[in-house]
Amino acid sequence: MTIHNLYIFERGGRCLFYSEWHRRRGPGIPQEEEFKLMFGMLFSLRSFVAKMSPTDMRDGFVAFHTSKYRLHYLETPSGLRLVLNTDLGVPSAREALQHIYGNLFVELVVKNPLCPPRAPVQSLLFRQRLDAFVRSLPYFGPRNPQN
Amino acid sequence: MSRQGGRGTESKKMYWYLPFISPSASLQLMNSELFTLTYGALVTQLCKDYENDDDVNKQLDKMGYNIGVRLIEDFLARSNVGRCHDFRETADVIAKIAFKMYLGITPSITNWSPGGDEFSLILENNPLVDFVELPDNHSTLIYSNLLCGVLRGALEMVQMAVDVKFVQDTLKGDSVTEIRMKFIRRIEDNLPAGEE
Amino acid sequence: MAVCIAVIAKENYPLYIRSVPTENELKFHYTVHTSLDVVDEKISAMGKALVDQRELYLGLLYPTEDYKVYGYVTNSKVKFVMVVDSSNTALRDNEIRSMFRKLHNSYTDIMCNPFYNPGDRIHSRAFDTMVNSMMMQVC
Repeated sequence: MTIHNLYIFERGGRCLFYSEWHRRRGPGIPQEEEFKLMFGMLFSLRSFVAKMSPTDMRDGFVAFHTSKYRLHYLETPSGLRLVLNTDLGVPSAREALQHIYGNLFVELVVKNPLCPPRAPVQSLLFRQRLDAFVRSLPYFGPRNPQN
Repeated sequence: MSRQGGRGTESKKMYWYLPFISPSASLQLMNSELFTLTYGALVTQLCKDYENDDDVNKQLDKMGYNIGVRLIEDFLARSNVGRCHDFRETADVIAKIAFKMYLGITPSITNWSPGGDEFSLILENNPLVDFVELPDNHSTLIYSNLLCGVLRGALEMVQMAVDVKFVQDTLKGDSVTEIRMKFIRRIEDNLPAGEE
Repeated sequence: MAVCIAVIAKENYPLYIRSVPTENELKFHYTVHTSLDVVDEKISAMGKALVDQRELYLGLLYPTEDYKVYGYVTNSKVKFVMVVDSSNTALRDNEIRSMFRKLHNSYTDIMCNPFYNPGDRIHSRAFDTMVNSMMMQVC
């Protein structure tokens, strides 16, 4: 059980933050491209999920999984999107994402008057605290060799 | 005979909760009088710096806007409110949750326009203006204009362009403070070029 | 009911004087001014004893043939002086104390007004209303 990486996007598509822990192979394209690809996919998935939903939807797109990993997604009404990739052993990372948003991002980045809103996160404190939090999660373990 | 500061019974405590960053995070209380005095000092310093009531009003609005774009994230994180479906729901959330959370008051919502795109918030008491009396040379000053900026900035971050202004103010002799909010349009997502 | 109420700053200049209008105002101003000496005397007498419970109310400063003058000093050395008609014997000490307490509360409210600079003359409508309620109703 492990956590691969985390992305934070804002509404216009820019990636504000990226951090990885156990990523075995990269995508083979430059990081800018990777962010654009990720955002584009999320956007399409979101609108697809909304259109195809058989009943009224509250949260919309929450997660998807493949045979190798699971992607968890949290979107705030203010347009902030948090994406966490974990391995298949993690059923839901919603609380973790909410904690990262409410207690780390809002407290350390949003409330910092020196961080302009919607700009890439430079805050070292945020990175450290996030790292400490992610490592403290019960499903963060050493990378399973099979994955 | 010892003398009590007789205003102790009236001072309202505002509760600001620290989230659980660490297990020893505690409840922090702040006296609302300190907040009122801080805001008053801010406004009077702006008056001294700008000397012109209109400029002060504009600055307060700008400052409020900067606060609003950040405050909305804190509000969403703490209150867990999802997207509002229409303007009426937005009005309810603003009056019953947001004002209560940040200022400790619950304004009432009245005067809906027939099209449902304008309404008024009536504040019986405004904690920003406790003890304040506007002198005669600042009759056009909108003392609590910061609130207008905050509301405008916060709603802009959730894709609503609104116009917010004071129509009645207890400092100017009216019986209540009334804020009029008008929905202008929805701000659409604009995608970066090359997407879809 | 008071005949004249004055608020004097720490440096002994008046921040606010209001008296019943039909009387000779100058006489009241003079009375208040001379009473300041008595106030200073009382303050210095108290200061030496260093009591742990500083009494803010000074009591009767001195009686003249028509009037009685009462004093009150705050911890920041702002003094309130009240001139009361001698013929009004119904006024007891407790009432005078409560009137001073109201004055003190209104004064602190003025200090909290961000537009008021300490040391300025007092121009507050709320303070005026409160003082008017304490002055004698002269028709």
